[in-house]
Amino acid sequence: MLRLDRQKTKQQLLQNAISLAVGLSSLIHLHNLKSLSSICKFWDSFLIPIILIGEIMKLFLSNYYSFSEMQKNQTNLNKKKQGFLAADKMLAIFIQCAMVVLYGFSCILLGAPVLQDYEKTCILSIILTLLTVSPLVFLLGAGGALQVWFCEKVENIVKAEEVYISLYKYHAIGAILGAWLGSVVVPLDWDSDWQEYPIPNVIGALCGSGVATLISTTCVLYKIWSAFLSY
Amino acid sequence: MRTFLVFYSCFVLGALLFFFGFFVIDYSGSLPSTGVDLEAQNLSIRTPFNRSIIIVIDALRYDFASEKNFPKSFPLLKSQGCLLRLKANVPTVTMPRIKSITTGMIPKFIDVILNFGDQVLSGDSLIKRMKDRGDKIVFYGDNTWTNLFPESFHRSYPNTDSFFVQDFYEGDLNITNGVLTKEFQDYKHDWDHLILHYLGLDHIGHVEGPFSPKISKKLNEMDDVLEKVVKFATENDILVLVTGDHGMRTSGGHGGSTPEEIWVPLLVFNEKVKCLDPFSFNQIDLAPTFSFLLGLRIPEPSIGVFLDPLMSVFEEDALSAYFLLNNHLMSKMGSTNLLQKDFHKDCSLGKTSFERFSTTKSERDYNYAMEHLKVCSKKISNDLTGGDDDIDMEMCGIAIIIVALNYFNMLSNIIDRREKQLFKPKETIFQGIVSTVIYSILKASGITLPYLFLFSFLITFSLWKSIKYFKRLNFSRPDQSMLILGAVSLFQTLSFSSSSFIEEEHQTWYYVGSTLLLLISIYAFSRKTLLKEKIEWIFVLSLNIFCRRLNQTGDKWINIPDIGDWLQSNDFYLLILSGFGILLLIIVLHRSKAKAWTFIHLICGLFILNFRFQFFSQITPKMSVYSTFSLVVLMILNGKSFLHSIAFICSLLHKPHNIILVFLEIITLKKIYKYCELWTDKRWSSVYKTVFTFWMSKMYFFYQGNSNNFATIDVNAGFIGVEQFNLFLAVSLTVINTFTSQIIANVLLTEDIWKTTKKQSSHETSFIIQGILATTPLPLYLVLMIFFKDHIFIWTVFSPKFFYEICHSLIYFVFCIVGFLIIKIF
Repeated sequence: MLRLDRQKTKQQLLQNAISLAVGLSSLIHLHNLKSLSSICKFWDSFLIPIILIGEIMKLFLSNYYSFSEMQKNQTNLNKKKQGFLAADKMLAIFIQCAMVVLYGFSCILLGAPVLQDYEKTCILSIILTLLTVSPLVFLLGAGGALQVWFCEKVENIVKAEEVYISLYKYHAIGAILGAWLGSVVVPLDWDSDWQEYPIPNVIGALCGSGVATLISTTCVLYKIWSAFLSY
Repeated sequence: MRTFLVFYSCFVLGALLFFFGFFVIDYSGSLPSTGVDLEAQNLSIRTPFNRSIIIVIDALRYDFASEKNFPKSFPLLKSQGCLLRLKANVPTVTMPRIKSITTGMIPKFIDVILNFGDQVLSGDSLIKRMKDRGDKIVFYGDNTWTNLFPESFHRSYPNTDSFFVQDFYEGDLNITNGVLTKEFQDYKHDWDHLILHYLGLDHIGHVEGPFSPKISKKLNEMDDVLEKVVKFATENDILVLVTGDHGMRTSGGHGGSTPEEIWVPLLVFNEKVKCLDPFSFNQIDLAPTFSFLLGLRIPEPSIGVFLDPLMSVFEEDALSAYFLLNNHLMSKMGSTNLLQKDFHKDCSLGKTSFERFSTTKSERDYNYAMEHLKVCSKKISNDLTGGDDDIDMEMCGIAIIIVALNYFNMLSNIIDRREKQLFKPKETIFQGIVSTVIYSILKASGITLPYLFLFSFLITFSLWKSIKYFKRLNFSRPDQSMLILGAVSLFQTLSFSSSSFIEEEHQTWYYVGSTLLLLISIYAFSRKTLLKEKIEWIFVLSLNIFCRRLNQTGDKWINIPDIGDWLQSNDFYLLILSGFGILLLIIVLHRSKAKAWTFIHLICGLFILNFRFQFFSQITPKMSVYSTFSLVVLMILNGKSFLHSIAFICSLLHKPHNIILVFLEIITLKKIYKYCELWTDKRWSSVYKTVFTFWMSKMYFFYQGNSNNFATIDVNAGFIGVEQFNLFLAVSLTVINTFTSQIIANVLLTEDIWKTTKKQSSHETSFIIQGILATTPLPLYLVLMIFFKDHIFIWTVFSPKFFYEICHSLIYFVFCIVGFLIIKIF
């Protein structure tokens, strides 16, 4: 008989719901924009704030669950209450900035214009950073994020955070693959406005993370379904 | 490996058969003339001109014909002449265009390829008509004409080197001097028609592009010539026609279908001709118009119409001329075909009203007949130029079967590597019998093909082998990352169903190549590598970013100014960049054990630079080329590494700003090989290396400025160190220059794999995998070609791509054979 971890499932579903909501609302926002080329300007679209708010909401969700979990077993509580140190905060900001630069360099290597259009490259790399780097840094701080990327095992995390990280991985890989695949429309001679860099890549990143979220939701639902059958 | 080579050669044979089936070479133009007879129709049309001068200025595009470029002759045009806009057909290459001008038909695509080896035009043409009447024709200029019409000219002074693009002035000056001294003075009355073909403009375009200051200088030179010619012509009542055979694209070449390439001007100088508006017509309209202006009959293959503004010289005879043209076109179309068209009414109305006019002579009938005859001839001409499916479907179908089966055999050969005896005596006899049966069946069913027996044998052989393989084949589960390697080839193959992905194929490979570089560099940085290593990686990556912008290529973005264009006008920076490239090349080839060779490389590099920039004035370019060649021969004789000699040959052939690419390719591939061994499973590392090499060589192929279009082939390379035009040498040098990246990559890969492993099987595998990767797109592409045979881009995009693909698989076939021989010998 399969047992279902109710807490975990609830968190997974809620978090995926937020991700999907963010994806949908940003796509609707893009749809309502006068012209898609306003993605390329910092102040003409709300894409970055929407994604940022979504990530913060997910963070709150995870914190809520980990807090309730920690209340149950008091042992972990002391460590977690300390919060992040100042140095760690600086490092977190530095890591995010460095990742923006790295993404920008990758874009240029893959064919983005070098000297002009740096604002477009900047926006694309900020969105990619928000989707792939920031969630971890917000949750675990710089040290924890580095551990997740480069070490096999992460120390000092509770179950709710583990759930968050496993969903984050889907999300991040989907975003990167989507942004990479988005370029496929560039050579076509349709002369549409959405073919212009970085619009297909931004939309690709959003759709990619959306598809990845759908896949992980399907996995969760399948688990619920099989638990229900065996019940 | 031997089995693989046999399959590969069958594959190539099949692809070539498709080639000849798709581009039917048909010169059955020598049919007895069914053209209209003036006498038979009992019509008399005046002959406005008895003598003419035709001047073809190669690559004279429409916007070049302006008052600014022709300050002396343009004002003449307004008072006594005509300026029209003509649309040349694709391919915009000299020989097919000359055929169009002289015969009024549209030659086949295959003529582009035959452009390099001219063929005699045996059919009917203006020239033939002139000669048959006994007119004396004198020719000066491009030897394409004398190859097309041998023994047609009373006197001819052809340039011996029509492809020798470095010559801007000398050839043209020879023409002008010859004409002015001989034809206008000594033999003033000893000719009826004078044809001049100037090549200088085209050569400037090829080398420096249409924005070069030399262009307007050249056009002014042409203007001086025109002024003198027109002056002579006015004194002697001679018709003067000036036109371009094709235009010039913004990047300087020609061959495609951009507006800059297809629109050419037609300037007519004579007092009798007057027209003000620059109307647009087709280039094929020249032949019928011209033949009537000179009192000749329309060349038999012509499908053009009249250039209406010029017809005013006939006055009331114009109607009869139109009537004859109409009869000619209707006979070209065939009466049964005509009845099915919606415009056949115009034709019959025109005919009846013409007949009515010849009795009534009323003005109303005249206008009525004129109108309908014009409409009818235009419509027929449009119809005849549009539809042209002369594809040998049976041959293509059989070729596809052969190609597909052999591709399958090649593929299964890599999965199942046990080498077997290919020709067992019993089987061979059996195959012979079966192919004879197929042969007789094909013959009985009425299919008359050349190479019929070869077909049937190839089919039997491939089918037989495929069945044998199919029986024994067990697909083992492939490695997961292998699937990704295959996915790129699959994407490439499928992307060829879209014309823009063919035009912009470089984008695909840039993306694949730079993604690979990105991944490997991330891997390199995540390991604990030395600082020196990291700096080298950053250098390689940034140089790749830079070199990608050296040459814009493709179709849509090709006209964006690139670094190469800029360098061409800044000699100093060009020298720095190419010197830097050579220096880096010498450094990367340097081995501490062989310092003497580095010294020789240095001398060799200096010679190459001297060839381009001439800083030692004592050493002529010719001397530098020959000394480079002899040093390269010395390197080959040394026998240690073939890479050195090939790298220097390629640097010599490359345009100066591309020299750095030779270095970049070598260093990038070396870096990739180094991390390939660390990154991937030991067993598979040579496979990965091979696939990565293939991708990167594709990427550098496009970095160099190549594309899937003939216009970007750098013809200059074929004439380096060549004084007389030599077809074999020119073609092989051009091929080496075009496929430089593949050659270097292969040599590098072979040397690397031989260094790392002693196993013969992995040496063979690398060649086999490359062969398979190179041939993968073809089977499906052949099907696509048939599927798209009516597509509007079939002649401009799909056919050139097909030619490139065949060349590509042939090149890799050569690699495989050479590799096989080397493996057997050593």
